[in-house]
This record gives sequence, structure tokens and C-alpha cells, in this order.
Amino acid sequence: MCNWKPDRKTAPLVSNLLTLNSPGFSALYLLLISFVLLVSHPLIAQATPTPRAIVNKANLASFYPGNDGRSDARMTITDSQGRVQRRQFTLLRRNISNSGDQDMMIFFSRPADVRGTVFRVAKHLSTDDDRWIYLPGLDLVKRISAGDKRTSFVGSHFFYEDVSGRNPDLDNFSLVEQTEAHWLIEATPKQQEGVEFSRYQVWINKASHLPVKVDFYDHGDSLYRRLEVLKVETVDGFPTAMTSRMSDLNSNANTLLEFRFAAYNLGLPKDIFGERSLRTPPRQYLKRPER
Amino acid sequence: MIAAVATIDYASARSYESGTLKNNYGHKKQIEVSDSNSDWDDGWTDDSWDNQDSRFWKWSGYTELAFGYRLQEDPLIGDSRNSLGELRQQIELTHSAIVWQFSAKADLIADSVTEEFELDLRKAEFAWSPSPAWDLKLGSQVLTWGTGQYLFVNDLFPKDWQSFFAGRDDEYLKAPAIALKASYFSHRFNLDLVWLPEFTSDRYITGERFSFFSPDTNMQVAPEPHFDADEPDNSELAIRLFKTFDTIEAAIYGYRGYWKTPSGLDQVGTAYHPRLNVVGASLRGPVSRGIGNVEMAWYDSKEEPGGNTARTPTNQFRLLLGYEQEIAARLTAAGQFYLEWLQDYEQLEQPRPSLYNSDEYRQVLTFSLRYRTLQDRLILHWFSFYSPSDRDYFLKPSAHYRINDHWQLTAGLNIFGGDSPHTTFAQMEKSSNSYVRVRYQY
Repeated sequence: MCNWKPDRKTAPLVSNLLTLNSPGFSALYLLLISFVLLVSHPLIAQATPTPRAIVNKANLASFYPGNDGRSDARMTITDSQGRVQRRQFTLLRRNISNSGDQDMMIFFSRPADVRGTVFRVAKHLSTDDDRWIYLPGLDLVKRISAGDKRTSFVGSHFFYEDVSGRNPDLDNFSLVEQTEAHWLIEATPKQQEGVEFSRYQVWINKASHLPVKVDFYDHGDSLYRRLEVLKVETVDGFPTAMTSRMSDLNSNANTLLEFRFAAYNLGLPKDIFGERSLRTPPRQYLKRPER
Repeated sequence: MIAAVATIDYASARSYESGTLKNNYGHKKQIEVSDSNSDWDDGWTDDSWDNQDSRFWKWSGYTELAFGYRLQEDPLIGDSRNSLGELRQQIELTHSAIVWQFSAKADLIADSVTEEFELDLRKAEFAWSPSPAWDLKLGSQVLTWGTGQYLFVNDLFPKDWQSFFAGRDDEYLKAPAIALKASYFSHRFNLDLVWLPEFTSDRYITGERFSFFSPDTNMQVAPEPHFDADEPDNSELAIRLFKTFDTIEAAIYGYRGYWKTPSGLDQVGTAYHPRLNVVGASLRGPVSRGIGNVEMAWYDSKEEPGGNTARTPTNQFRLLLGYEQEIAARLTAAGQFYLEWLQDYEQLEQPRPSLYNSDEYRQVLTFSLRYRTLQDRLILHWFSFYSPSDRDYFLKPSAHYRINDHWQLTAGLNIFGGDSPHTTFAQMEKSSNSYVRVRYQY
């Protein structure tokens, strides 16, 4: 199908062409229509997506599915000596705009010392994120200053930025290769200062647009960090990375991140992303979806 | 690893390109399949990870052993250098439904300093939302608001200074109170209304664990029986109106009650809690690369009508300015400036000129550094108070190591000092202590 539709400006031109009967104009008309069909045909448009366009789609597929979403999540953090710690939490997310600002809340339920702790993020693309944490023992809502996004998220091997999404504007992208199933994109940070990697390579599935593997190289250009997506499921129509693992290849430590009871387009109200939900979690939206 | 990658139809892929995230994938149940089942075998089988029903009793708790050792002897307290020595058992129980929740938390403490068993009911609250705009919380609960770090301007809920100075967990800086908290939320404003049917004082220094300076006898004391002022039988009321404007959080506060420590003295020399009304305001929001806050309050100290009081605190204007910023990865620095401006200072000085009167402009500066390392398992924290007007200080460094999900180890120092014997921190000089705590939680 052709997705091209005449807009207000071109519509009179098109209708004029349609009403002209001279053979010359008919030929021109046919030529024009063929051209429009040709350039607007998605197969052709898809044949040469720019690396940035691929990354944009991957960003949308990874961090913006639906207008909003929820999921239970669990992290299994294994250190270099095989010792295991866990975190369990429920995530609520709401998009303010696609590829743009987002509201997020994370409600911790395990282990016992973090039960009832709530983390709230107002993610902004153009300014620093706003972050709050609620400490139930003190009934304290603490505002957290914007921090280095490439430090551990709740003690795991995932960075804050791995969970909330790295702004694609921060990197330059090039297409290294493509197979039938994947694009391999290389990203180099526009500013090397302030990040611990010199480049990363990301394998993006062509069908789901989800990154399935990311390899990070340090400033000495040795591979030191890897994200692998181990399981993807389609939830409410959106391919979702249900299991992924972030490995620190130097120490052989890793964190397994698993999602369960994910759901999208729940109609989460804007209001629930606020101080009220820090102190009194919105339990009607935290409950698990009936499947 | 990815074993199978199914193809996807063209219309679905197209929907991403156009940016309209429509439900086009419904017919594909699984696109990429892991060749190995994830490891679901875990130690958390008792929780709700596999359970659809979230309505059930949850319980947790910990056992903690804590020791505190005085850095110097306090002859007023006795030979023992123990400032802390306790085995604490905490149990927390929660039952949740969609619109209500009951939770209770109690500590049973075997205390070697007081040589007593104690039950501290930290929480026994029933919370429910009678309408979409209202949240109610009734029962024994910990309450906090305001913008300061260890400094309180508009938060007149009870604090536990003994715990704070002895090196217990930060959680114990706040003491519970029986209260009804009603919260109203709307697009125009939000409101917290807290009614404490019975006045609940701070847990102040009594001479039991730490000695203190008595301005009436002009000396350091640790009275026996321990200092314990009568508490008014009346209620307390606290109000907060708050709203977030873009990224700035603004609040207006009100309080009607009593001074939280017995700072008044009647004609026969008995300490009591004088009447107090407070109005204040605060702002908090991003400033430069960090978070800035400003908070102020007017403390209106009321004479009892027809009362036979010898001394009541003067009115005060209190101001707090704060700033916090992550100055390097995982390293956060923060500073605060705090002012207590005593009003009608001449009237305070006239009847009772004393070396030991408070400064007209008591100022406190705080500085803190917090460093997270070892995958957030080790937290090093420096917190210091310094008063240029009182020329005294309180240094509070600590290290917290989270060994695993069960074991935690905390060690720290509380070091007090100053030039004059009577000022807030200097009077605690002989209470300077070191402490260590080991906690097992489940």
C-alpha cells in the first residue's frame, strides 16, 4: 500500500492534474504517480535506513513501547566469586512524548531492607533528570541530585542509563554490517570525557527493533562489558526483552534482569507520578495484570 | 543466547517507522527464544514473584547487635564507658488491599545501658483511600516533611536525639507518634493535615545515657531520677500545603502545639513544654548541577495566659539554605547554612544576663560527603555540624557495608566539642562515642 496522502498544499495540484485530459498531461500524470509510488514505497525506503534511524527505532522499541507500561522485575546480581544478591521491584512508566520525556516509578519489594523504598524519575532529554527517593523508615521524600548516569543502578551491573535509556543524541552511529536478522551498529560517544567506554557495538533485531546484544569497549579498546538479551516475548503487541544479562567481562560478575507480568497501555494517569505515590503506592496500578 | 529469530511481517515493522506504536504484534507470541530456560530456582519462593494475588500478609524483620563505646569517661554517668549496648529484634507485618493497608512494626530491645527490656512500637497504622482525592493514615506512625538534612525547621514531629547521638540507624532519628494524617490531592494544591491527639515530645537527652548542661544550675548534670518533664495533655496540629511548579517543589507549613523539648521553666523551677505556633515555607529544586533548597519559619513562642512562668523561649526566625551536588561519580557533596535568630534579645538578656544564654544569631554550617563504592555495597559518609556563633561542632563519620542481602555492618563516630560548656554540641563533649552495629535481616 502506498502511504502517501495529499496534504492541503499539494491537494489542489493533484486534483488539477486529475482533471486535465490532454495526452501530454496524462503521461505526466502517470509518470508522477509512478514516481510517488516509487519513492514512497516502504520496501525501498527500508532498504537504506540510516544508522541513526535504526537506533531511533531501537530506542523506541526498548524504552517507549505503548503510551505507558508496568512490569515486575527482578535482578540477580552475581559477583566475581559467585555470591548472589537480589532486588525485586515493580516498575511503572508513562511516556510524555515518544522518544522524549518520561515519568518512571520503581517500587522495591525485596530484599527486606529496601522494601517500601520508592524511586521516582522524571526523565528529561534536554535537561537533567529529576529524581526522588522515598525512605519508608523515616517517612522521608529525598530529592536526589542529578548524578553520573553510568554508575550502578541499585547495586547491579546495569547502569542507571541502561535502565532509563541513553540519549541517542550523545553518540555517533555507523552501520558495520547487516545480516538477514540483524543490524550491527557501532556507536562512539560524541564526548569521550565522562563516559567509561570508547565505543560500543549493538546488534539490533530487524524484526523487533530490539537490541539483542551490546558490547562495550573501554578506552584501551578492549571489550569489557556486555549486554545480552536472552528472552523476548510479545506483550500486548510489543516485543519486550523479558530476560537480559549485563556482564562485567573483566571480573566475570553479572546481573540477570528478568521481567514478569508486563503490560502496556494501562491508561496510567499523569497524577500517579508524584509525591503521593512515593508515600502511598498506587496499588490499583501495581497489581499484576490478569492474563 | 538467541536461538531462533522469527521473521516479522512488514506491516508491523512499518508501524515503528511511522512512529505510531500500534498493536501490530499481537499474533506473534514470541519472536526471539532463549535456548535455555532462565534460572527461576531462587531463594525467594515465599514471595509473590509467581503469585497472581498480591493481597496477603508480608512480614520482614531483623536482628541487630549494637555496641557503642565512649571516647572518654563521663564521671556524671558512671564508670561504664558503654554508650550503646543492645540486642534489637524488629518485626514488621503488612497486609495490603487495593484501597487500604495495615502495617505494624515493633522493636524488642534488650538494652545493657539502661539494663531494661523495652518494646518500641514504631508503627501500627491503618491507611486507606476513602476517595480518589484523599489518603488517610491513622495510628502510630513516623512523620517527616521539610527540606533539611538532619536539621529541621518546619518538621515538628518527634525526633529521637538520644538515638541520633548514640549511633543508631538513621531510621531511629524519627520517633513514632499516634496521629491521624489526612492528605488531599488536587491539581490546584495538595494538603497534609496531621492531628496528634496527644502531644508527643522529642526523645531528648535525660541524663540516663548522656549528660547535659543545665542553664539553671550553670553546670553539666545527669540528674537521678532522669530528667523527664511533664507533657501537656493537649493535642498538636500540623499542616502542609504543597505543590510542584514545573520542577520546583513549594510548600507552606503551619504548626500549633508545644516546644518539642522542655525549654520553659516555671516559677518553682520545673521544666515544661511551652506553647508554640510555627508558620513557614520551603522551596526545593534543581540549581546549577545540583539540588538547592531554602526553608524558613517563624517560631511564635506563646506565654501561658496567666501562667507563672519564669522563662519561656523567645520568638525565633529560622532559616535554612542547602545545596547538594554529585561532584564526581558516586561522590555527593552537600552543605547547609542554618540560622536561629532570637527575637527581642534584649528582653532575654535583661532579666537574666548570663554567660550561658544562647547567641542572638545562632548559626550552624553542615557539610557532608557521601561516597558509594563496591557496587553500592560500601557507603562512606561524612557529616559535620559546625557553629561559628557557638564555636562548637559535631562530627559524624560512618561506614556502612552491605555484605549481602542478609548481613550489614555499620561503624561510625559521634564526636562533639566546643569552646563553651553550654552550647548545643559542646555540652555533649563527654558523650563522644564510637559504635558498631551488625544486622541480620530477613
